[in-house]
Amino acid sequence: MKKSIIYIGALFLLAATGCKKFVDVNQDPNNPLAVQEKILLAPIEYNIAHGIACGGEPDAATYTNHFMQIICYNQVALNYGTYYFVNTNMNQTWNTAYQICLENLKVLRQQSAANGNSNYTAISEVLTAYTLAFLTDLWGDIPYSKALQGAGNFLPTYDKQEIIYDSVQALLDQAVADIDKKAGAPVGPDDYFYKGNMTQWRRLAYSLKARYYMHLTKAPGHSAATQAGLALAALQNGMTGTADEWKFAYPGSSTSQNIWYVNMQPLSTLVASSAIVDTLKARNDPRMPFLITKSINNGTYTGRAIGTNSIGNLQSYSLLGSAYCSVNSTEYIMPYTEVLFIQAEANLIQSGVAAAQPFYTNGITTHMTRLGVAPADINTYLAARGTLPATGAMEMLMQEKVMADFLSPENYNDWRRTGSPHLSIVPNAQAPAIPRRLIYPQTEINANPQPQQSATLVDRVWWDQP
Amino acid sequence: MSFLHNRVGFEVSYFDRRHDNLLTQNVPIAASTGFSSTSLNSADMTNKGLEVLINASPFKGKNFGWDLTLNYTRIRNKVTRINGGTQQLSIGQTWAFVGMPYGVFYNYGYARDSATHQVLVDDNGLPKISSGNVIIGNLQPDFLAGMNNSFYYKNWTLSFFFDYRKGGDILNSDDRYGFFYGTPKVTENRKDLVVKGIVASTKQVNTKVVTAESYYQRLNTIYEAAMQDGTYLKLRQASIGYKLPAKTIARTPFSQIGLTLTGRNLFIDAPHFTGSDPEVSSYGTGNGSQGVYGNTVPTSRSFNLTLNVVFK
Repeated sequence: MKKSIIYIGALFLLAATGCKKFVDVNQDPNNPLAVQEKILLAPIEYNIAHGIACGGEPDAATYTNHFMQIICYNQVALNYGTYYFVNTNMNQTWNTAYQICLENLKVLRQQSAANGNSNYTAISEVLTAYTLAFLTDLWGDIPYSKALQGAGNFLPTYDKQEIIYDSVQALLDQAVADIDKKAGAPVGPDDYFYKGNMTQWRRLAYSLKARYYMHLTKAPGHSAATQAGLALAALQNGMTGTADEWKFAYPGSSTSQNIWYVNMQPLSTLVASSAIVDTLKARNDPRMPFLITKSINNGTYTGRAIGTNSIGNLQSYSLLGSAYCSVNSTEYIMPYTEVLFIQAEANLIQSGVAAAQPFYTNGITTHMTRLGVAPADINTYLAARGTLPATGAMEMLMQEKVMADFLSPENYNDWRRTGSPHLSIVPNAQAPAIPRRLIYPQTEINANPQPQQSATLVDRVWWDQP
Repeated sequence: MSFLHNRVGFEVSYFDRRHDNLLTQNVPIAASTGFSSTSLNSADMTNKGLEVLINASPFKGKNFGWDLTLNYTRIRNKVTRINGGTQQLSIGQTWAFVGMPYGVFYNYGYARDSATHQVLVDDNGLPKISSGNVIIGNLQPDFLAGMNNSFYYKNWTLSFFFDYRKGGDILNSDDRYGFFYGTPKVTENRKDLVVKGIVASTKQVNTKVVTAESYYQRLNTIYEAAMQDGTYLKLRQASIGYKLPAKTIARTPFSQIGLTLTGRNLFIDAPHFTGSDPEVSSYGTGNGSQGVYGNTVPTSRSFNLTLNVVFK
């Protein structure tokens, strides 16, 4: 009798423990619903680099380079280069931004905060701020405070750009505070950008704050001088050199090719525009061999004019060059040169040409040095274009910033704020002027109709005042 | 109902069905929700329809007979509500709009004059594209009909089956792509042309001559130009058979030997459709993939020869 009680007891224990542990049919180990922070972070960072800051052909970052007349399709007019956009062209960037980046950043932020891993919380805040600012700069009012609730709200209303900007600065402040907690799990190689170096993340947060202060130089209720002052103050804690710049290194294997390299493959028919090629030529810019290639057929630097009605031989045009468009080129999301040019601009606004000059020179030199331009060539170039003129300093500053931040979507924001560098509307344009924003994606119009969606390409966002 | 010793029969059915809270998979939702699609009780709709089936045997003799079957189907479908109070919902290639039949094509069309509905032409003489998506078609047919005939004459049998669909739009995606490259049949004519329409800026009749290349490359961006009426008449199946007379095989171990030649898809007449077969749904059989023709191999025509032997 005693024995059988022990047996029954043992059996009962076995049953009670065994089943609970192994047979929970509601948890599929192959499709986990929650993952560790370090597994979340890497794909978010990759998608920000590969689909937001730069992107494929139908992505916003690429459109800005059509507007800035850097690239050109070897196709007859009526393409992105001539401002021919339909709402479906906007789907891809929003899908990447909301469904991949912002949604997972929200999860990362909540989960890391709950687990006390404040470094991850801080990173998610910086990246959320960046993604929101990227979106609002191009689309004005965007969904955020009511968004990312899945079935909880199928029809999120859009927040005003002004509100989004408040959120961006608040997120960056919070990121700094979270970094300063120095708590929780360290971030490691899952962080493609800084390998878990939180000092550099902190500098990035401040540098981004400066960038977004400068975006509001013309915003209603803001003064350029105040914004310049705020930017310079933020940069007291910003990047200190090229080691701090925000970049993404593409290894260059068949599954990790630089996105611009992919975009410049012959299938896309994208080539360098004559606007950028002729500008580089006219200035005898020693960066030309790094920024563009010689055409295969003629061995000369030849751009294609945007908006023409004929198609040329693809091999008779220059492509974008090895420094930015090789299979393993590093992508610069916020290069140190941008910080230098922000300082130059802010000083120009606050104190004038003399104060801006050293940052301007340093911006050009830093960029050329990174590319590998010979010191003698740098000096020759600086002799010609290294001195900011008393009048037209902003134009020259932005002309150089476009080169130093080559292919960055920031250039389009700068052009809208300052009107520099000067651009002319292309022939066969499908909009009455050079676009000043993007239209809303078809997926939003279909599934979440909002009053803002009537915006056209030539409407201005809140901070973009004439 | 049937009459005259089952020589004539017909069935008529009329139905009026209401579908509430149809469960739809992969309903696209706004990116700003953080997700791309979900399964929803997405819509209500009604189906009203009429089905008629007539069977007849006009001749029924010892040596000769004729059987005839006719059918006719007409369905009027209407979406009556969409989840969340929105007026439209994209489901795969087509759309549901409240108050319209399911399967609306909603894409870029011609820009048209609001008063006269004439096509607007830009200053270069090319048709203007609508400023946003417009309704350019619907995949629901007007009606479907079929006719089956079978005859026998002594030991011979003959039957054929015709299928007819009236209406129902198809997006000929092959032609739309092809317009850019000049491959559809219609682009064989490479002569310069004048687009029929009025100039948007002046409201005058367009007289500007454009090249066929630029015209068709413009059509490439106007989906409406690739919408085609899917009316078709098909000889879906025909067969002819012969049975050896019982006398001939009386001394063999067989009670019956027959030979039948059957052909399928022998004839397709689609007067308004330029692809191979307007019945094809190129991207699968699902709800969301109807009505688009593209990258499709033509429907195969097949012949079967059947030997039918029955042992005693």
